[in-house]
Amino acid sequence: MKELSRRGLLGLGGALGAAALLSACGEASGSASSDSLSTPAKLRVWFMKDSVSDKAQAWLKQEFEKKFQGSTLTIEQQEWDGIVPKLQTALASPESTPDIIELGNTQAPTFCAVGALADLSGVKEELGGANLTKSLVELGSFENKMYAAPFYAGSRIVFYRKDMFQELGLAIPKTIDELTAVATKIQAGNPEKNAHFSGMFLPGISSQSAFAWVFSNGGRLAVQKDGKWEGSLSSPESQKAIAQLQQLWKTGSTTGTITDSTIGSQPYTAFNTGEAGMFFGFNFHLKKIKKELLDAGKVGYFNFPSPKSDGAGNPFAGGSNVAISNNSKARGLAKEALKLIFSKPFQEFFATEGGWVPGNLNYAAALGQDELSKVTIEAVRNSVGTPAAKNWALVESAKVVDDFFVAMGALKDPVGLAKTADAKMTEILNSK
Amino acid sequence: MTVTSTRAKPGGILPGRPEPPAPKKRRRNPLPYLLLLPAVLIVLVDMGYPLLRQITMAFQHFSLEQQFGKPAEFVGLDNFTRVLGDSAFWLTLGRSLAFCLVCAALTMAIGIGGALLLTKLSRAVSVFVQAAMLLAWAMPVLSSLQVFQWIFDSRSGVVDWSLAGLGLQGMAGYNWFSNPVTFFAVAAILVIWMSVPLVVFMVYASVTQIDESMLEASTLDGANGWKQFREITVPTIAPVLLLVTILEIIWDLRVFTQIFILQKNGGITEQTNVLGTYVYQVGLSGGDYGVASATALIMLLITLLLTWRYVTQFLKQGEV
Repeated sequence: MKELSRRGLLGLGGALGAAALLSACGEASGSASSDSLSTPAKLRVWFMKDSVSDKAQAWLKQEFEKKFQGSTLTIEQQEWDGIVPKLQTALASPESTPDIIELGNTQAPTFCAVGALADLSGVKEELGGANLTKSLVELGSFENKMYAAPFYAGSRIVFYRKDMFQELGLAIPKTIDELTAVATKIQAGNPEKNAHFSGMFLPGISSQSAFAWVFSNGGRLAVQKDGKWEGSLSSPESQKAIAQLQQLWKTGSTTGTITDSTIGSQPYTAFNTGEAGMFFGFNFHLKKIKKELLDAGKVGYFNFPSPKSDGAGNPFAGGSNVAISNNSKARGLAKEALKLIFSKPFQEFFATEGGWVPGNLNYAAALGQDELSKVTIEAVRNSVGTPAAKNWALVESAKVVDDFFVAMGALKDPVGLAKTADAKMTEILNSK
Repeated sequence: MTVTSTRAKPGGILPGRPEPPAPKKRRRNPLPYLLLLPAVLIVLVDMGYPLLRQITMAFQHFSLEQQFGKPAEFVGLDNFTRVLGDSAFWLTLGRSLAFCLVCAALTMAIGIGGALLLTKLSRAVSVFVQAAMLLAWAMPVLSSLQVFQWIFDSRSGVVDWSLAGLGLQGMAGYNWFSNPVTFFAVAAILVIWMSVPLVVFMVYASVTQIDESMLEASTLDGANGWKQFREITVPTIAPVLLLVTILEIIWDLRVFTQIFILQKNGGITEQTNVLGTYVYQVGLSGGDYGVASATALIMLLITLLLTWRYVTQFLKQGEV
């Protein structure tokens, strides 16, 4: 009986529980002077999964703690999924905030604009100045002040099975239509007689992969007209891209209906099990490919093609910025750690260990001169980013674009759904 | 389940509770109040402050800039008109109510059936079944979610494999999470699976309190099982049924974790939002804390409306 009443109370409390959901937010933040270098501090650093290699992490920790005796630096690895809400709440209070954070380049404009980050203009020159990747500097700046420095960049390339291409007499596609045709032929051929076989592994949930079709056709996700943002998936260019994608999902890929984001982020898995002839991934995915396939010389890569056969297409510009939380109690020391991050050894780790193009382009040569590096640098050079709109992170976390491409992967109506998604984007991007 | 039946047993919601002795006149002793203090303080800090904060925010323009220190300005009922004018909110509300009522109804039906079945089982089997249900009930929700995702996995899930094996067209590799109807079907199975044990335990406990002689007498008078259930069992345990039903409705209306995690698997966020995930999306992801607070207040109001009867009864019980 007692138990019952208690549960009853809990039930009542539960009704009020919705209130608790929002309780963590909204503490106004005081910004105490925190720029001292002499007071030891325990720096907390948030890096994203797959960003910084173990070697680079160890180096940073060691160098920092050696240089600033008594202080410590702890790296906490974060998942991409759900990071925006997590940052919104964590950065808002001096008690919970990490000192240094990595921000996806698509999320950077939002956090720069709302005052969550410390101004880095004073140390910009020391971090690399004119050698910093320009597009990432733009995304990390607000009203001509840099709040988030370019961390690294990367773009997708197409991996393929050389042996399958050879067996079916296929050449590397020079246009998007040829890419579809090649995928279709491999899928129909199914050289390994695999029940789950797909010509190209391209999950509907991996919208950032699909952006390559939109950007290469000259489409954009949203455009700015007279100071107002407008969703742009309905534009003729974007629609053309979506028609090409749906054709691929009809005949050249069985993976359009994959909606699990974890599977989507590991495109090499299907490739390793012989279930895909091609996948669209980052250069460092090469390390995840099965050794037998690599050793037998069965793996090749090429740049995403353009609509006409005039060189490479325009994949999505992946990458990150790195910033200091404005609520950090040790902004001075955090800036010192940032200088270590932009020093030669750490920057070169991006290239040699991770396969990313480092934020300071002076050190990009460390990527090497091999074919893979050439293809990668070409992809990064042609890449296009998401709109540099203040509210873009909100469009992302509202899943407007993700939901849209999942529906496209399931071969739903491109025209009507594009209109709905455009309207939503327009609303979110222009709201204050 | 009528209100009159609750009068059958004065003094408590559960049957079989002895009447508390009438309080004697006592001298004022501060100790009881002192002992109450920690509990009251915890409730005030834990629930009172967030609630106050939420009510304030519901009347403010509060977005990311305010989150990072800009002063918030009051906007009157602006947030409420925005929520109520948004068709997405009404769709979500309808979806939530339907999901909640279906889940609560099925949970109650299965739970009562299970409890009655338990009374007919031999002791050994009954203990085994209860132990199994206790495990299901005590299982952390994230673990069971993972298992359910595996069961319904489109590539290697046992459900697709079995259905395809039975010769059902198109079930091999079917993605349950990419269609709102099947999405909610899986979510409902999970929610019901997790809440049935509690119903079974509570109903079973009260059914075993029913006077055996009453049942025997009715058998002699020629009543069959259904009649006994309707005329004796239900009226006797009605207070428990009422209580559990209302708790189920509250729990199912504010379901969050299950839907939120399955959404990551489904990629159709907008079509699968329920009130809880909608508030989260508008507030924490969308950075519009003011509108989210207003929505949460409306949600609180709906919950109170749905459960008003239980709440008043709960308060009455406290006065005895």
